[in-house]
Amino acid sequence: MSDLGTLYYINVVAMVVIGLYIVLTKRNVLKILIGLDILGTGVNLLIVVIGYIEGGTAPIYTAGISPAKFVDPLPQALVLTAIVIDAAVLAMAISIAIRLYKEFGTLDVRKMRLLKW
Amino acid sequence: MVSELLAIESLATIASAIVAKKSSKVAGIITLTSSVSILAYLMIIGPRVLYDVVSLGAILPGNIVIGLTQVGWYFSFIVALVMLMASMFSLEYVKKLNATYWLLFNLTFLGAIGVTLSIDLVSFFLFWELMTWSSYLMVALGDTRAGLKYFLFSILGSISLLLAFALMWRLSGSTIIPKAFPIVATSSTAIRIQLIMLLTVGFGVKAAMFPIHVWAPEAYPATPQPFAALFSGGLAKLGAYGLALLTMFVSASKFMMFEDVVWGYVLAWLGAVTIIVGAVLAALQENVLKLIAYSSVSQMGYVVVGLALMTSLGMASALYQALNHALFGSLMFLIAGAVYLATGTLNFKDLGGIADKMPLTYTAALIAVLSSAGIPLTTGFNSKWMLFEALIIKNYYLIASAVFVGSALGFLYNIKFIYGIFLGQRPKSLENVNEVGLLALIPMLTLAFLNLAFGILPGIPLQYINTALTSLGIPSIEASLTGIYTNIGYWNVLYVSVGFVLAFGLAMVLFIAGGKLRRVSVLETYMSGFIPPENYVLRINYDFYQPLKFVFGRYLRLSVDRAYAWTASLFVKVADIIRKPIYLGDAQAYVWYIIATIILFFLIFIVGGV
Amino acid sequence: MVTIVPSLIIASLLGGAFVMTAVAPFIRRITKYVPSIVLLFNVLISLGLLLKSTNEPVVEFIGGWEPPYGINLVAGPMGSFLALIISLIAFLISLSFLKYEPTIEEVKFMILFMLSVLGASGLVLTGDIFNLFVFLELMTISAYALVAYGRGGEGAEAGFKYLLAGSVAANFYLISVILIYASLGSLNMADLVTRMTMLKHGVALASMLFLVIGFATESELFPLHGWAPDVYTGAPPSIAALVSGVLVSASLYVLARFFYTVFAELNTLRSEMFAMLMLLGVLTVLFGETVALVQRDYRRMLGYSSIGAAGIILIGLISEILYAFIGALLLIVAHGFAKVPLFMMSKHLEEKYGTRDMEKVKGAFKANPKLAIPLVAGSLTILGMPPFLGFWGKLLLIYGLALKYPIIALIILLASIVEAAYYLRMLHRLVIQDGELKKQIKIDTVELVTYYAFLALLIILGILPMLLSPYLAGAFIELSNPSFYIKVAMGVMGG
Repeated sequence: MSDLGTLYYINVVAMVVIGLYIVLTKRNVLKILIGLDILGTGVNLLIVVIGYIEGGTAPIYTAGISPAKFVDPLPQALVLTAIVIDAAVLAMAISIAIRLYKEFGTLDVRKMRLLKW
Repeated sequence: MVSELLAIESLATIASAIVAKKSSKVAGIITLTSSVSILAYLMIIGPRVLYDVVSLGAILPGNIVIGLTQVGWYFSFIVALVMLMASMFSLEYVKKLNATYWLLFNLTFLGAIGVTLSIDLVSFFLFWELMTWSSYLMVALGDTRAGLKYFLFSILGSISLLLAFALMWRLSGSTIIPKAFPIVATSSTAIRIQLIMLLTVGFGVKAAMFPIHVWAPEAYPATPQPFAALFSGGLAKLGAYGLALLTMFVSASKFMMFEDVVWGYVLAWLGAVTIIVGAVLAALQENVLKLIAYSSVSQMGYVVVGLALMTSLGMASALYQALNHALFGSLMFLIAGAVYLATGTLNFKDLGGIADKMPLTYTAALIAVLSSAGIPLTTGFNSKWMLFEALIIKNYYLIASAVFVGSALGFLYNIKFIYGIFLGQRPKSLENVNEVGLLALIPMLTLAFLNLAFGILPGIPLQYINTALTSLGIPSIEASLTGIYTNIGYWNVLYVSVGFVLAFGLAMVLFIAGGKLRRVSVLETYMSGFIPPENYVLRINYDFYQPLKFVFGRYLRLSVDRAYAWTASLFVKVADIIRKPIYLGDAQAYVWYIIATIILFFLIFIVGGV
Repeated sequence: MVTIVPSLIIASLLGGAFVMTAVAPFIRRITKYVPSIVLLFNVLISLGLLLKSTNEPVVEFIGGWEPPYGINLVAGPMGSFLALIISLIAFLISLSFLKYEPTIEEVKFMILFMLSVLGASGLVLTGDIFNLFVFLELMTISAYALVAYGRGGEGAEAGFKYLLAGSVAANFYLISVILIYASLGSLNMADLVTRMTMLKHGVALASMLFLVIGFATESELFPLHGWAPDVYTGAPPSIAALVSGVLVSASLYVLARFFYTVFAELNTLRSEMFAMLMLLGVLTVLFGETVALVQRDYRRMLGYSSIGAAGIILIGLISEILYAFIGALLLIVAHGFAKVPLFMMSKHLEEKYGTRDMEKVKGAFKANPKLAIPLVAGSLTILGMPPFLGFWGKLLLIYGLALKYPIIALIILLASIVEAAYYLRMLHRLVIQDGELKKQIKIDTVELVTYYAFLALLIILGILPMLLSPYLAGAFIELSNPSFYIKVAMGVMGG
C-alpha cells in the first residue's frame, strides 16, 4: 500500500466522519440530508479505492493488454449501483423534506417531535 | 377411544356457539347432552388406563397422549359431574345469559376435562391455557378489573408451569406424565427445589392457595352462578389435581429427602393459613357470592394440607375433600343462583327468611352448609375427620390446631349463609318469592343427595380414591362401605346413622305425641323483652359478625391483595420513568444510539482483549 | 407449465409495478387489482419452492453466471418459508387496496408497496451479500416513502426518522460488505464460508460489528430501535403491519444467516456476535414490553409489543438450539399474522372516533362483534394461548431455552405477564367496557375477509402445526450446517 493509497483511506474515513457529524449535529433538515449524502459518498469512495491495483489499467478488453493487468472491475459495478441507490435515497428524502416543511412550516428537526416516548 | 370425548366436547362447543345467537335454549341442550354423555362414558369405563397417542411429527420431541389414568379418571369425574349440574342449572338461568356464555362455558369445560384427560405435559399445558383464557373472558365480561387480576395471576401460574414442564421434559427425555413427574424426586437438590417451587406456584394459583389466592374472591362473583359453580367446583380442582400428581409422585418414589419434608411442612402451613384467612374473610362478607368465594378458598386449603402431608391417609383425605368441595361448594353457588333468580338480589341486607317460600332450595342449602361445616353423616365430615387423623398420626400438632381453628371459624360463615338468606325475618320486598324451576332444583337436590349418600357410605368414593392411590404405588386406605379405619381410630358411619335415625324417630314421636306449639314472637326472645320502635331493623343479617371484625380489625389491615397492587403500581411508575429518557422522539438521537452502540461494542471487544 | 424459480417472485413484482405505472394514466380502475394478483402468484410460487426445498431445493443462477462469480438465488427451506410468509402477509394486506377507487397517490402507494415486498422477498432468497444490500435498500427506501404516507405531521416525521436511522445503518452494512470483499475477493455467501478464516481479526471484528449494527437497526433491537415506535404510530396502518410482519422478520433472518452460515468458521467472532445479540435481544424484550405497559395510544402500544416480539424471536433464532429456533420461526408467523388485523383495526378507530387514545374510546368495538373477534383472537395469539399458533411458538421456544438458558427463558416468560397486562387492558377498553361511543362501524367485506383469513390461518396452523414441521426442521439444518448450504448454493443447477 503506497502513501497515496493510505491518503485515500484517510479521505474515506474523513468523509464518513464528517457526514455523520453533520447528520448528528445540524438542525436544518436539508443540511442533515447533505450530511447523509456525504456519508454515502464516502462509502462509495471506499468501494472505488479498494478496487485499485497498483499500476493497473482500465478493465476493458483491448488488443495487446493482458487481463492480468486490469484493476478489479467488480467494485466499479458495485459503486455504480451504490451511487444510484444513494441518488434514490436522496430523492426520496427530499420529497419527505418537502412534506415536512408543508406539515410543520419549518425545517428545524427539533421542532418535529410530535411522536415521542 | 378417549380422544373421542374431547372431539364430542369440541363439536358441542362450536355447535352451541353457532346456535346460541338464535336460541339460548338449544345451545343449552347441546351443552347438557354433551356433558351427560361425557359423564356417562366416564362412569361406564371406570378408572383404568386407556389412551391414544397422537404424533406431531418433527415439531415436537415427544408424543401427545390423550387418555385415562386412575388419578385422571377421578378428577375428570369430578369435573364432568359439576359440569353436568351446572349445565342443567344454566338452562333454568337462561334468561340472564348472553350468547357468549355458552361458547365460553363449553370452552372452559373442554379445557378442564382436557387437562384431566392428558397423559402428557404438552396437552396438559395446552388445555390448561385454553381453560385459563376462556374462564378469564367469562370473568372479564362481568368485571374487567377482576378479570385482569385473575388473568395476571393465572399467567404467573402458567409461566411457572411452562418452565417446570420444560425442565422436566428435558431432564427426563419424555413428555409422558408418569415418566416426567418422577424426575422431580430424582433430580439434584438445586433443580428439585426449583421444580417444586415452580410447580407449587403454578398449581397453587389455580387452587387459590395463600398467598396467591387474591384473584378468587373477585373472580368467582363476577361470573354467572352456574359458571361459578364450574369455576370453583371444577377448575380449582385442577390445581389440586396438579398438586396431587406432584405430591403423589414424590411420596411414591421413596426418595424423600430433607427438602421434601421441609416443603411438605411449609405447604401444610400455607394450606392452614388459607383455611383460616378464607374463613375469617368469608364470615365478614356482606355479599352472598363473595362469602361463597372466600369459603371456596378456605375449603381448598384442606386439600392442600392433606396433600402436603404426603402420607396415604393425608392424600386420601385431600382427594376426598376435593370431591366433597365440588359437591357442596358448587351446590352453594347453585343455591346462590337460585336465590338470585327468585329474589334478584344477593346482598345479605336485602335477604332473609325465605325458607318457607323456597323449601326445597332451603333443604339443599341446609345440607350444603352441614357438609361444608363438617357435620357427621355428610361427606364433608368424612374428609375432615380423615385429615385430622392424618395430621395427628404425622405429629403435626401445631398445624392440626390451626386447621381446627379454621374449621371452627368455618362454622361462622356457614351459619351466616344459611341464616342470612333463609332464616330470620323476611323483608317486605321478598313476599312474593317463589321456588325456582325444576331444571334448577334437580341439580341442587342431586348434589345435596350425594352429600348425604357419600356421607353415609364413604366406601363408595374411597374405593375410587384407593384405586387412584394404588395405581401410583401408594398404600391404600382401609375402608368398608360404611366405615373408615385408620391407625388410631375408626369411624363407623353405620352405627352413627342408625343411632341418628333412632334418635330422630324418638324425637319425632315425642313431638307429635306430647309437644305443644306456641307461637313465640321474634321480638320477645331476641330483644329480651325490650319493645323496639316501629322501624327498628330486627334482622341481624347486616354486620352479622361485628364483634369478629372488631377482634380481627388490626390483622385485616394487612392485606396480601394490597401488597400485590402496590407492586404493580410501582412497576408501572418505573416503566413510565424509563421511557422518557430513551424514546426522545428526536431523529438525531436515534442515530446517536447507533453510533454509540458501535463505539461501545468496539471498546468492549478490543479492550476486552479478544 | 411454469418452471418454479425464485426469480419469478422478483420479476412478477417488478413487472407488476411497471404495468401499473404504464396503465395508470389510462385505465386507473384496474390498477388496484394488480398487487393482489401478483402477490397471489407469488404465494403460489413460494409454496411450490417450499415444497421442493427439502428434497431438491431450487437454486437459480442469475444470468447463467455460476457462483462464486455470479449472483445466485437460493430457495432453501429457510428462504422459501420466509418468502411464503412474506408473500402471504403482503397478499392479504393488498386485499385491502381493493376497496377504493385509486387516485394517483394511491397508485403510487401500491407501486411502492410492491417494491418494498420485492425487496423483502429478494432479501430472504439471495445468496450474495452485495445483492443483499441492493434488496435491503429497495425494501427500506420504499418503506420510508410508504411510512411518510401517514396522516399529517406524524407520517412525515415518522418517515424522516426511519429514513435517517435506516440509511445510516444501511451505509454501515455496505462498509462491512466492502471490508469483506476487499480482504477475501468474493461476494457469494456460500463461497465466503470457507474463506472467512483468512480475515485478519480486526477486519473481521469491524465488519461483523457494522453488519450487526446495521441489521439490528432494521430489526428494531435495543438500543437502535428508537425509530420503531414512531414509525408504528405515524405510518398508515397497513404499512405498520408490513413493517412489523415483513421487514423486521426479513432483517432478523439476515442476522441469523450471517451468524450461522457465513461466519460459521470463525469461532471467536461467533461467540462475540452471540453474546452481543443475546444481550441486545434480552434488553429489547425488557425495554419493549415494559414501556408498552404505559402507552395510551393503541398503535404505539402495538409498536412496543412488536419490538418486544422481535427481541424474543431474535433470542430464539440465535440460540443454536433446534426447538428454540423452530419456536422462533413459528413466532415470526404467529406475530406477523396476528399483528396485521390488530394494526389495521386502528384505522377504524381513527376514522370513526378520530383518536387512538384508548382511554377515550372505551367500548369502541363493543357494538361490532365482527371486529371484536379478530381483535381478541389476535391478542390471544400474541399471548401464546391455544388453539392459536402463538401457543406452539412460545412452548417450543421455552422448551428449547429452558435447560441451557433458564434465566433468559424466565425473562421472556416474565415479559408475558407484562404483555398480558397491556393487551388485556386494551381488550377491556375497546371490547368489553361500556363507553359513550358505540357507533356501528361499517366494515368493508374485503377487510373482513383479510382479518378472518389471518384468524383462520392462525387457528389451522395452531391445531395442525405439524404441517410446517419438515420445513422448519429443514430450515434449521440449512442454517446450522454450512456444508449443506454450500452444496445447495453451488452444486444444484436450477432455473
